[in-house]
Amino acid sequence: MTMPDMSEKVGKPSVVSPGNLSSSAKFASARAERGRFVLTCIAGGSVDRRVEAFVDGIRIGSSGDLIWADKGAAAVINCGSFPHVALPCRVRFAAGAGETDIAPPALIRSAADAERLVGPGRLENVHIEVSNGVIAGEGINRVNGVGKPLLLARVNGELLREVRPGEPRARDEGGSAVSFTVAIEPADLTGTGAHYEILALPDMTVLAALSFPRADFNALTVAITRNEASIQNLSRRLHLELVRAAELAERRHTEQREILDATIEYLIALVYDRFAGRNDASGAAEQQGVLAQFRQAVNDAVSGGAHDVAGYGAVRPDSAYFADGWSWVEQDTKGFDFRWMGLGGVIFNPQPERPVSYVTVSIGKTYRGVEPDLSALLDADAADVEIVPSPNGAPYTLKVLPSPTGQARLVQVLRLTSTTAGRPAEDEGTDDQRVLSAAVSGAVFYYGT
Amino acid sequence: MKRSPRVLIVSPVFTHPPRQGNAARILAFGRELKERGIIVDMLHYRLDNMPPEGDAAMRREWNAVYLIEAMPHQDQSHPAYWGLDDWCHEVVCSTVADRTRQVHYDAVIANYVWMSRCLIEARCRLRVIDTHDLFGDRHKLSLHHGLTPNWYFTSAEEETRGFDRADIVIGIQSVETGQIAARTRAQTMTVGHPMSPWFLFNKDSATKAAMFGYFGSGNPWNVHSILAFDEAVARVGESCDWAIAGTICRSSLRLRTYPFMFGVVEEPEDFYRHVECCINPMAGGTGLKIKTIEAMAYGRAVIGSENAFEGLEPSHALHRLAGVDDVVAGMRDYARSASLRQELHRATRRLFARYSTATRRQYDALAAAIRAA
Repeated sequence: MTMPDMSEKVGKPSVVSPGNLSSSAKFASARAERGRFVLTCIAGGSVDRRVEAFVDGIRIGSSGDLIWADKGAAAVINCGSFPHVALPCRVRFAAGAGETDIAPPALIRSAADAERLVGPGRLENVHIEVSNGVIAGEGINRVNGVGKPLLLARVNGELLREVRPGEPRARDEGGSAVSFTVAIEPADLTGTGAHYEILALPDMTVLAALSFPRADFNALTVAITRNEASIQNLSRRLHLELVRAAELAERRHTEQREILDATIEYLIALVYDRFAGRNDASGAAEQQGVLAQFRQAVNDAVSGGAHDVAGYGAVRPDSAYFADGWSWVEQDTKGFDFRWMGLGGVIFNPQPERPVSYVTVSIGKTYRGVEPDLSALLDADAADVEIVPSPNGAPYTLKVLPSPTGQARLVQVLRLTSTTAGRPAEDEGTDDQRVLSAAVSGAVFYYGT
Repeated sequence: MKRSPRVLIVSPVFTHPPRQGNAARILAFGRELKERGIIVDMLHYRLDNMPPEGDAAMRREWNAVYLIEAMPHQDQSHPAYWGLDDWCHEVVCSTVADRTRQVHYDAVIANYVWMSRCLIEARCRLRVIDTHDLFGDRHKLSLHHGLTPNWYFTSAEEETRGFDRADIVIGIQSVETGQIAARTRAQTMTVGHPMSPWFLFNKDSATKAAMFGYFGSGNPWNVHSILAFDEAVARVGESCDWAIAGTICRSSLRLRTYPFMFGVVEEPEDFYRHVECCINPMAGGTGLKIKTIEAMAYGRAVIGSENAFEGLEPSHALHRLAGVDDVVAGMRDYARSASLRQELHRATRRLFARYSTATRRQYDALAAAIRAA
């Protein structure tokens, strides 16, 4: 029995323009045939423009223009392609904007069902090249997104070889992309070169070919261009990786340095808080023990990592490295921080693991307004002290050098002692009971070997 | 003491780590509200595969986190497109209803119109949808560009039905907000995507992998645009010093030219520091092109199509190019002229500053609306 084809307008003529109708016609379950679905109308009525078939909202086929269907009439939905979707899936039929089903969905259970509907499709835009010792290729199947192509390779026009296809992958533009590989064997290279062809079964159509003739200047030019680009890219990548590695190392080092500085500051503050006000011998011994352990830990950590390349360590007045003998932090008229020293003051070396060449101490003023008269100890050893031209605008800069050799040495603590000092409460009759000698605005430990 | 406003954000995307543009958007959105003194709770409907570290990070970020395991989508309601509520499971709605009964929320903010179903039973004074993108007739737009529809797409009518469930519908850029306003009775506002000016506190690298760079994911619009751009470069026949980075590098691109393949980078900064100028030859798509803003935030000059700058109101000619051929011509001019390089650099900085200021104001307005509720 043949059914009327409703690809053309059938049934009652209408004055209603396509697109303005809602569909009232209903159809029975679709019958799948090669390249199409056939729907039989079971309730006559209007059809909004045409009947279309969808899989997961992707349109796979359409009837011709249609505005009315009579009961018993058939609508043919031609399907030219099938998308890459998970199977099993449903093919749904709708008219107009695709809002409602006008027939029960058809089930596509497997890739074989899809192939029965749209055929196996054909690989197009097949591209092959030698990659990692094999011939690697990729092609596009625009028709059948779930089918796996049957391929064969022909070597030097005679020998047939297996082609290993991968799983089809969805393409944004529809259908699927399929990759495949063919092995290369030493015997393939003959006196005239080597020639590979990719064939589609069953009709053995040549999809792509690749030749290695003895002299093919075009192929050679293309290959050289590609290789040059690859080498250039490799070279750039290598250079970039080196730069990135160096940048990363620098960043990590800075972070490590900051963490270490913060830790040292914190721990020294902690140690001094803990032992503040304890003058007994056991307290002093415990203090020394804790400090020694801590320095050892810092030394161990630093010696295991990258060293600071900076040649100096600056100590600000608000730093915890300003230890004993200092008054609170104040600001001078220009807004710079300073601390008054009593008769003596202690400043810790921020990097005691590095040999110290000399130390500079910036002094903003002295209590009696006279040139500072200070002596210094580096740890327990007397050091040379001289007043030098100030690099930072401070009225006085002291330079403290290891004595007697002047050679760099490991130093943990700088101790300063002033020969002159006074108490404002006594001298000026104020409430300030502190003993003041020099207003120090910072110290810098210079390292060397 | 006055109570701080509190909102519940409903998200089908994890916010930590913010690997995708939409995750970065939701994270930035929530943080902006927090900065304005609003308490943010997060309900995450796990449609995506959140990495193990994401859970703890989200709990650190948000005041409270509720997780709902993913449920299968409902069957597609319509043959040609998804129904409005097909992706929003009933369990999300009942959880939102339950949470809003137990906790006083000033607002519930649903991310994506297809999550708007959860607003119906929400007990709060203000219902908000952050649209991210327009999904109405998106499948038609895809077909128009020769692409297969993917992810979520619905009809304009369905989308409008979703908009009407909210008191405020947020468009991510002004052009889309205008389109939404024309269709819904809800109040609309534009709330852009804020991005820190990274160029202010990060050192640039003197070593460049290439003069021009493209950074993008492997979404169909990006792939489509880059293939068209590559064709245009090949047509000109001159060598072009460009690099390509991001997950688009995994898309088996078959290019005719030979860009430097930067690959997938851990941190975007790693890429941006090593190119001088970014390109975005976007040929279509909806939403806000976050990659354009990101490139500007990292201090790169940007050359791009009108579509790449949609909603940013650019004034420089190299920010309003008609197509890929113009982008290629713009790159050639940029490479040849030092003055143009300087000019574009300044214009891009100005545009970023304008955009950032506008975006801050937009969040102020949103926060004010939440407080007023």
